[in-house]
Amino acid sequence: MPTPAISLQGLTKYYGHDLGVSDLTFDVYPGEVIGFLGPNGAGKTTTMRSLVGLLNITSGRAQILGQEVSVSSTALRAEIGYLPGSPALYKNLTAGGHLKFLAKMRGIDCTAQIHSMAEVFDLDLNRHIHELSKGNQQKVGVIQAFMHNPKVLILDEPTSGLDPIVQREFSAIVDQRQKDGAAILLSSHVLSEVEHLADRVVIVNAGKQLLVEEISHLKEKTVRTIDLYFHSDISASIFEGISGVRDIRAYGNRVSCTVVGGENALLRRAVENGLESVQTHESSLDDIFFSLVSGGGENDSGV
Amino acid sequence: MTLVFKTAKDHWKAFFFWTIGLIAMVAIQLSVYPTVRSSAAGLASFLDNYPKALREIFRMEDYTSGPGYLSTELFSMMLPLIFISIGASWGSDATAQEEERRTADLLLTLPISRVRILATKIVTAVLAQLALAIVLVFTLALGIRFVDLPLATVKIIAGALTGVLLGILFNAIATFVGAAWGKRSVALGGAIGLAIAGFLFYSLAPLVHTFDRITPVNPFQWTLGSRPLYDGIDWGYTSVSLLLATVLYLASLFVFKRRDIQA
Repeated sequence: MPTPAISLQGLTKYYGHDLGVSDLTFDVYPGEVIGFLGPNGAGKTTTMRSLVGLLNITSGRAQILGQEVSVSSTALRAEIGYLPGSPALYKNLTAGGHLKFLAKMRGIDCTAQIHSMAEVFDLDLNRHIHELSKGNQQKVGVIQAFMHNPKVLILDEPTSGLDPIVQREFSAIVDQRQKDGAAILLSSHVLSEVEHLADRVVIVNAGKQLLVEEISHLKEKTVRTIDLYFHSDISASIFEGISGVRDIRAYGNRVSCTVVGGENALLRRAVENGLESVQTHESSLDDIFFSLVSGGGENDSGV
Repeated sequence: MTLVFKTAKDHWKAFFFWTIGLIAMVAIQLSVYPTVRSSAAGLASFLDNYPKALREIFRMEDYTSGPGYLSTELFSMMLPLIFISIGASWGSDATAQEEERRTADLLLTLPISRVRILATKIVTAVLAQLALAIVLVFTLALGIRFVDLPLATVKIIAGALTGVLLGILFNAIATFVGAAWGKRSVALGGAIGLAIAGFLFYSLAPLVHTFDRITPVNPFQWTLGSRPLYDGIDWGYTSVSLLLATVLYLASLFVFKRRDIQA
């Protein structure tokens, strides 16, 4: 097992008596993207701000690249790219001037990286920040997080405010950084965003960790609805007794049912009975998510 | 260095206008001086009719002399006001404004320690005040020649120094409050409130005995009270002012170093 790039061990943060997050334990490995999911107020931002040294950790530990994280772990931050949730920028600078300022403060030259990313995102570097739309300001935020090719990326709601085309470009950049071996933690409350980017997800709610799971496993647990179309009218009873198959209903030449887990057995029996076509209604992660958040909290698993 | 330029850039417009305002104010006050001097006799008797209390509050005992005129018109109120305004506003901007506007999120996650960031801002603010004081000294030293107001340059420097000290002290207060609470309004309000209170206590001290008791610990006594245009630099009071400012700056660094920066 490689050494994790980000490692949380019982990370807990209280604001006075108010709980921020409690007892988070998970790792992010180099070359891995973790989707950090939860509704607003779940503690995602608190966790991320603790990791970049804006907040003091109350108890537990967090390590990045093997070093203990704290508000004074200055040198470590050279290896981290951080995108705050709806980042606030200096309004009196131009987009290019702002990025240059941050690069200079880091003591490195990121000119080439800034220009190539601005081109990909179609961002005019000469415009003043106060003239930019929220989406364009988000682009500046994304570029400053990536421009110094950090080994660790902590991205708080990175795609919020980006239009679908830019979201696709963003995904491409995340993929590239992942291939380069960066460890990426990205939060979202929109699960479909994370679905195609992340290898694993961590789901939190009300400051507690509900689940750490690989996306593919998570999908296996999902309930899908499948419609099977046949040459001629068919009886629902043919499909009784196949494991994981439920709610079987026949409507003339169509059979509708729900499936959990593998669907091979179902399809085999359908082919034997003259299957013509199949239509699968993939349920999104949102379904899993809401089933976990609304009462599934005790089903802790998979850590 | 980048942050010094950035901080200077953020403030240069305001600083530029303060400087122009300062020069204009000095010029206007000096241009009136010949008239005041020529009507000295009449003015003196006119001022004698002022209530003693009022004369004491505005330190008008010696209004028609060069130092007396400049003390009353510039150094006892207008110049301190300018220095304190600049000091308090830069102090409250240092970290509190960055936090309130949430630009601190990007600034404080750079690989630069919080102490270094705040220290840089403090140094920039102190240098700006010194620059303003130098402008003041040059303007006055030049101006008094035109209106034939004899005053040794060292006394002008002493006067400007009291302005800078007040500016730095209230900059330190605003910086500290901002570093500890992260609210610009609290930092600015706190510093300006203390300045007004301090000034009132200082001004009314000759009249109200109770106020006089706190005079020894009143920064306005350490600066204005040292009568710089008459007595030159008071090294004792200057040291005390600098010491207090240093303590406040160090305390700012100490609290800011470990504070939670909340979203």
